[in-house]
Amino acid sequence: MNMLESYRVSVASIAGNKLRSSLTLLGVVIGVMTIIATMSVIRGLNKMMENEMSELSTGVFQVQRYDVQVGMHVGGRKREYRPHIGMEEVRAIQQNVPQVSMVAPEIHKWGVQIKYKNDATPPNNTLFGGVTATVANNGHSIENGRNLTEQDLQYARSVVVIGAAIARRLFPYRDPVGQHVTLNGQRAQVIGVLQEKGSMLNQNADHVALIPITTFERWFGKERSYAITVQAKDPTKMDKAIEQTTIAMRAARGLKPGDENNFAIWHSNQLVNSFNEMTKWIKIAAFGIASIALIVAGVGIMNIMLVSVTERTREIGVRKALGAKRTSILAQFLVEAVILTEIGALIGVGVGIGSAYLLGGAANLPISVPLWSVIVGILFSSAIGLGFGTWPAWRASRLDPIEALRYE
Amino acid sequence: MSSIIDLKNLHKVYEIGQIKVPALAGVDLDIREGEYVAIMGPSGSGKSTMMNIIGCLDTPTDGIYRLAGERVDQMTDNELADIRNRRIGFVFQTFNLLPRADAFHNVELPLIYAGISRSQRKEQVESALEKVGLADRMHHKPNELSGGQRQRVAVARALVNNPSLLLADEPTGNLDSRTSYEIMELFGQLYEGGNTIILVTHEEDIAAYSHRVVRLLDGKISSDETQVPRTGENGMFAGKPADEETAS
Amino acid sequence: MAKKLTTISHALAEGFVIANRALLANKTRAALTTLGIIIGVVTVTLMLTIIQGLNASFAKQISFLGSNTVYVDQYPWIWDDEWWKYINRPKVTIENYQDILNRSDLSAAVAPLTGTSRPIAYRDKTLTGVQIMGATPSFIDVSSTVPEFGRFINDSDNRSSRRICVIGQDVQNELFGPLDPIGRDIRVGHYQFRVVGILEKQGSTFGMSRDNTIIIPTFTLLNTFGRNRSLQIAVKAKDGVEIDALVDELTGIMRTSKNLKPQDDDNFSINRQAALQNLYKTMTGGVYAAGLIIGGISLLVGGIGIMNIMLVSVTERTWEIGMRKAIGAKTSHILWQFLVEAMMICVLGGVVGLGLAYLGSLAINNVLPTSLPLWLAGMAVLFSAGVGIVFGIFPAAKAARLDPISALRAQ
Repeated sequence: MNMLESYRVSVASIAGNKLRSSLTLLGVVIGVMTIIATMSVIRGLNKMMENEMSELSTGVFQVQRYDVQVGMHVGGRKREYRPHIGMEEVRAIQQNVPQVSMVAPEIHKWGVQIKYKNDATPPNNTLFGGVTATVANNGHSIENGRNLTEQDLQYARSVVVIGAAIARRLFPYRDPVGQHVTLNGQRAQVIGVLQEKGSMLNQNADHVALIPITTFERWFGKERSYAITVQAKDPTKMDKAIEQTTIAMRAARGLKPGDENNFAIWHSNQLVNSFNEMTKWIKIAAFGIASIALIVAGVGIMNIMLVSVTERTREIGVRKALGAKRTSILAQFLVEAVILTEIGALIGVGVGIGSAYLLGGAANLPISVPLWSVIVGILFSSAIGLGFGTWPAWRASRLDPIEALRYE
Repeated sequence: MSSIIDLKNLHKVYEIGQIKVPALAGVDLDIREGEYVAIMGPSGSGKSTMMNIIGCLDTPTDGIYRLAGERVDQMTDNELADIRNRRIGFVFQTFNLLPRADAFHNVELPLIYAGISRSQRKEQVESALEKVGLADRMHHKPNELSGGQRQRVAVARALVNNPSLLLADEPTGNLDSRTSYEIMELFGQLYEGGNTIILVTHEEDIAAYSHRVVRLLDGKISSDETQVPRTGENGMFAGKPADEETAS
Repeated sequence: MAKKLTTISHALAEGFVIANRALLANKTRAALTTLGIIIGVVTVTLMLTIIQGLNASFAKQISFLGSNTVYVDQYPWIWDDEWWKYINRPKVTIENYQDILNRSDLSAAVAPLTGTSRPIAYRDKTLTGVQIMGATPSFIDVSSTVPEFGRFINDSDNRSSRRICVIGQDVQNELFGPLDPIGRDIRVGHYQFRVVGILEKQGSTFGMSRDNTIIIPTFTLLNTFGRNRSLQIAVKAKDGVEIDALVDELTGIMRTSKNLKPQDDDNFSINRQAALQNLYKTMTGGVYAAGLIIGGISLLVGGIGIMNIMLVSVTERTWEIGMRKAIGAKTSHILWQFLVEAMMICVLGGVVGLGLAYLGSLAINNVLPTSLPLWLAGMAVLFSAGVGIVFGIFPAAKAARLDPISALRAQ
């Protein structure tokens, strides 16, 4: 008996008991579906987090006085003192690091209220003092009006570029450009509006206003430390740029060899990487748990195949009496198990992709089904079919033809 | 003697798709307590249908059926189950014993469904098995018993609830001739003891043991005659049935 | 009625006998069917023990905050969307502390806490990153921190702003090693402090050691390292006083102390451990639920396996069902017979699965905290019985509805 014949017999047997076959399939369908849907949703979550966390543009890193602090601090402990970062460091990077461009110092002030005529925003805006490149380095772009210019900086002009949320709040019906607003009591003319970032997690991204750093210092004093955003000319060689910047910073701050850095360099990828590192374990765990359903389905297949062998003992006896070899009986039942799982896997892929998009739609996630999960789902279920089909098939092939024929 | 079975103008029509097939077309029959009746007829005569209705496994399309004075033709499934449990003892051609349960448990089954207490069950089961001469085989499983012994267990199961009626459907159909007569002799003894017995068979030899033969043809009773029953003593294989056929 | 009850109980008892026999008759099949349930129960139970363990561990980690202690603070521990309301708040001062101390009737202890960080040195060894906490004697009452050796800070230390300190175990180990530090002087920033005691081991919270710390008098800290800092005032409720009542009282005292007008919003926060618990629950709840659902799917698949095998079983035993009906079994008897069989498989699977999950949880305990309370064990078994009912009901109903005549003909 050749493979084609095995196939024909198997299909007939599967079709001959539709309820039983479909329940057996259902286990595989659910298993494959779980794997694909889970992996897709996790990938969607990751994608969303990546988008959310990329505050800085690609290839941009930030030099600041202290490390980014994560975690909870009970008891309000203070960090060790570090000298301010100032204009000297900005110049040092500009002059000594050829791998970077757009070196942009910035300072900020939280909780700024912005007024227009009799209207005012809540004090929930962050006011940045920066330069022209600040906009691009922070992943913003100008939607309307213009950016800060060299002249604005040079003469410390009272001009401001406002975020989309502020524009919407204060100027619902008119063009903000050219209007005068008051920022914490200081009057400035709106020269531009930033494009909306519309981030879900970081709702502050559109509650920003940018003035020339020189104006910031004129208004609020010079005692603040700068943060410096830096664009690596070649984003793929960011590590090199960071290394060179570190050297330049150490020299500018007069650190001796062996001293620890008294500044920190941070880039968005770090956050994304550490997040991915965190979710990697969740992903592995979820894959493991989802696979268990498929293993249970495999146990179900084995059970039903054993029933099938018992029920068809006489048929096996007849086949053997007519000269069927052990291998052809083995093949017949193995093919049946594999076909069952394959049909289940294919339906599972469909249902899995469907439910991933359904879940994604409900939870507002950017869903994309990882191809590997589809391949793993199919391969894994084939392995399950083979693995759990072998024993029943082997049992069928070992039946003694005389006893099998006598069986009722 | 009061009437056990009282059938009046009984009809049964099967619907197969659009076609109506009459299986019973107006049967009147009266069987009194203590009678031993054989129902005969070729296949398609309505014999099985009649047995199913008498056995309360099925209800007639039309007509009246009184079992021991009770109208059973309009009963629901659960009421019928109750009637079968209390009033009717079935003996099947293929014994229908639970293969993995011993004789005791097989006989006990109807009592369990009747909700009888454990101690009372034990008493009744033992006496029923004694009646069929299997008191010493109580804890044997069906595959440890001979065909005749299996059918005796089935008879004991039918008797255990003291039914109004013993209904046997080809009880010897799966037995060799010697064992068949052994079982028929048992029925004879039960008849002597006052049990009402209805035997459905197509074998004249077997019907000969009854004292009344009802013949069916095309859904109607074609004849209903009383006869002198053949007894064990007059039978072809008179004498004690051999015990040596007990399977080891 | 009583008769009916005995009938049902007999039917159930018979159901057990039948189920038992059926399962024993086909051991491989029963074992494989049970295996499906076992795997499902193990998965779900392990998920639950891990979740339970993580929750318990979180509760333990923050238990040092005390469940009957609240913390008056400039900022809330958990910031909401209106962060801009908080950032311009005035600091919590020593005067606020004194007001609470003088006017609170519901408090058992009031402790002003503040902290800073300075390099700490003994001879040629220097430690950075040590937390320097200011405390008064009442610190012992609001936290479980007590000195293991030497003494704690007393009122006269505070009154005269003495430069003395009680050091944590990490500081003791790293700075002094085997030396007895009591009576020795260490440098905190630019100042000399005399060690008067060593704290008991505290353990860690979220991987941060709470032993890498030294405690000095609050007033010494303010006078030495600057007064321009906000305090956190820990207030412990008297026995039997509801935390909410204490919060209400403190709110009143603080509003007066801060000279707030009736229409003003509070410009301080009163924090408590429960708020962290709630935050934790909302943050982790979704992940836990997802884990349980995904784990539960394997139980679902196991249930489908049971249904399939029960259907096979009904087909194989059609004649038996016919016979039982013929001798008087009612629809409900047959229904129960098969339901009991499905439930027995599931409960067996549940019990075995529970045992395996228990062993598994012991192994996992090395990586993740686990906890298997009794209610969870009971629930796992009950739940698996439920799975038996849900997936057994269809095959059982199919069996119960069989027509006795055609069933008898089925052999």
